[in-house]
Amino acid sequence: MIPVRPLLAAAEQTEHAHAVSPGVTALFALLLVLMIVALALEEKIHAKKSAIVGFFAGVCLVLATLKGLLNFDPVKLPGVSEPVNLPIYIPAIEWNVITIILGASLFVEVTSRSGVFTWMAITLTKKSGGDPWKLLLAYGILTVVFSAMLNNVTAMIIIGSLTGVSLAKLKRTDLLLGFLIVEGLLTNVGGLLTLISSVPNIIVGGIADISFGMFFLVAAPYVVIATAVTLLMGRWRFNIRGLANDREREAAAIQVAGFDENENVPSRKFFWFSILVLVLFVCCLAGQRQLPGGLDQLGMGFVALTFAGVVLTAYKHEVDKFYQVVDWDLLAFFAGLFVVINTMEHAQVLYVMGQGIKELIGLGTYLGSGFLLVASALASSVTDNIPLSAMLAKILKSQPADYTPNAPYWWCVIFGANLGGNITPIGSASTVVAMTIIQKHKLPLSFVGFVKVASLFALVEIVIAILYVFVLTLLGVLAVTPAGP
Amino acid sequence: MDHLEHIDEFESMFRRAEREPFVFEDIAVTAVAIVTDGDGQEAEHLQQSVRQFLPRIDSVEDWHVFSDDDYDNVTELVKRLEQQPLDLLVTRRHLQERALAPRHSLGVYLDEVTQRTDIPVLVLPGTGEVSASLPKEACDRVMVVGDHVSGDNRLINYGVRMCSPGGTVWFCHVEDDVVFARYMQAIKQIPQIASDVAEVLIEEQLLKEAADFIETCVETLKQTGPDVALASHVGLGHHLQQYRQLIDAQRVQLLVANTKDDDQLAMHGMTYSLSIELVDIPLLLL
Repeated sequence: MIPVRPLLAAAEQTEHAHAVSPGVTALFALLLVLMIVALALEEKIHAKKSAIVGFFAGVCLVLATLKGLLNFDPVKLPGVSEPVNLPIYIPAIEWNVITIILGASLFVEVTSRSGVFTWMAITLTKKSGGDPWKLLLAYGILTVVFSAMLNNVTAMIIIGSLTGVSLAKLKRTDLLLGFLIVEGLLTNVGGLLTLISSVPNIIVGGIADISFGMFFLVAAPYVVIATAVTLLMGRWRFNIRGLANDREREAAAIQVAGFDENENVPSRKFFWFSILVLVLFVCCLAGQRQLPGGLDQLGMGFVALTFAGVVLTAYKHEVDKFYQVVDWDLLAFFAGLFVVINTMEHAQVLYVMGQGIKELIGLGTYLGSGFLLVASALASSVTDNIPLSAMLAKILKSQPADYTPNAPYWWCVIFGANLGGNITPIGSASTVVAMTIIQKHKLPLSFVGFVKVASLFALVEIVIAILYVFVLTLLGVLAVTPAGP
Repeated sequence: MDHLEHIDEFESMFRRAEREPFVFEDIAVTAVAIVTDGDGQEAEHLQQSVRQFLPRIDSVEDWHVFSDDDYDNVTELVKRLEQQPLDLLVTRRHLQERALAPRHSLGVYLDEVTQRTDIPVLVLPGTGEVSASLPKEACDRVMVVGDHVSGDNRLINYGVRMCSPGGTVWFCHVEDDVVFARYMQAIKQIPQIASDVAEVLIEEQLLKEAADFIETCVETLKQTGPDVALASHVGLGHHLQQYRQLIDAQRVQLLVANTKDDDQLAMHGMTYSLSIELVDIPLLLL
């Protein structure tokens, strides 16, 4: 355990610490802990994330102002000659993250109306011929792909819903629990595939300046390995086997052949348009850094918003309906969270935590990376991985070493924050959804039951992630080198 | 929208994409029983009429005749029927009750036989009061009806089996407008449900389910079924009136319906009313 008192004392000695007493830092650290606990108990206290974080952001702002921690001078904006008076909480927010999430969620919401995702899901169901093992493979791979393209929660909702319906049709509801658990675990694996697949990726990637292409190249091999291992473990753990004879295969094939993949496709034209735009969207995100004429400076958030605007033209007379389905709670949560983190920065809380992380990384590249990954995973298993990854990314960014995007520590935070969600049912939003579907079907699985079943999967996935980071470091793909000037 | 609503939305979408599979089966009719309250001669005459009316069962060699002398009560008749495997039973309404001149019932024998055995029953037209006989020509216009037609392969296959080659089989599904109106009235009193939208969507979905299944049947039968033309009618209205109109308009010669209700001993409600009212055409009760 890292001793807190010396760290607080160290805070006093830094160049930024001239106006912050250890008591104030401790007070803000306490507020941070309280916020994290409140977020973990979100369901119990019947408060939405945005309300919880908004409350703490307000309290932090008031206290920071009273303690004189904030600088209310006008802000100098690029391209504007005179400094501008901006509310203190506006520059605290990472607007690129907010715009990526807003643009991507609008884009996904509109394209999903084309029926493309349900079409893919039903088509694969039919291709499986109703064979349970092939169905698990199909749904597992789809879960990973959807988690990467959409978001973990939507992926779990789509695949989980289809699993319930198709297994009921095949009269194999005895396998439902196993399927739902494996799918829930795979959402967090799939969430590692691209830079925009999960919020921790967006936050850490944004702060570490990792490009979309680099993220994919580093993360994809791990996702493939972890998916295969999880599916094989799922087959073994839940005894999911293929059909034994031709008669069973024929009967199952007749059942799944009854699904009509075109039922939820309202327009063929919009269906193909959505596929085209989806491919272009991924290509533009991947090549965003190479956009000509300085367009790359507009950032990924602009790309996401632009594509959302393009697909919204198909529903231009009812765009307001899509604005209504945007997860404003999540966006407000982010805005509040960034304000809280900003005040924590001013109150030296991040610095103190950074000292702890520094101790951890000081154990050496391999040992430090391993510990950081495990610590991130354990922390994200019991609390929201978004504040965790945001704090850790900010702390790593503030380290004097100024790590490059291929420093293993960023990747440890990314892997740990995503995979930690697989240890407990409250570890990630998608496992919460998996539990909701499990409870909806009245399947016998308690909190402890989930941990007992899932922790073995999570352990294996985390061990593979540690080994993967080690191997990439050994190969020189990941390296601890300070960023250039 | 919370997670549960979202899950429910997608489950609905996937259930909507489900189609009840239809598997064509050329139902074997090898053993037929004729039950009359007349003498052996009447039974023989009836046998000839049935062969004429249903040419596709003309090859049946195993005919059993139960005339007036062969049974004294329903239990005895049922017992005798169960002594051999039977694929079809031919009888009339108001068996042994002609003296009572009933009109608006099936008669004790028919009522009991349809519920106590699984044998499909071909009910001859007419009542105890007004007798009628099978049409002289071969049956080539069959109508299959049901209020849960979706997924009922047996019903469809029997309908197809009874139609002469080159004939037409009608698959019909009528949603009861009175029941529908009753539920809509309840929905209109629930502020959380948008009544107008609900009315349109529920009606659409109710009819779509049957229409989809019938479409599947038609597609399958066109590929693998016998040489019969297939037509359909799906709508909302009064069961009896709608079926009556269709029977008259299409000059239907045989009506096929289910008699069993899953949760009760009494005959399926709609079939009972049809078999009481439609006394002028033969019925095949499954």
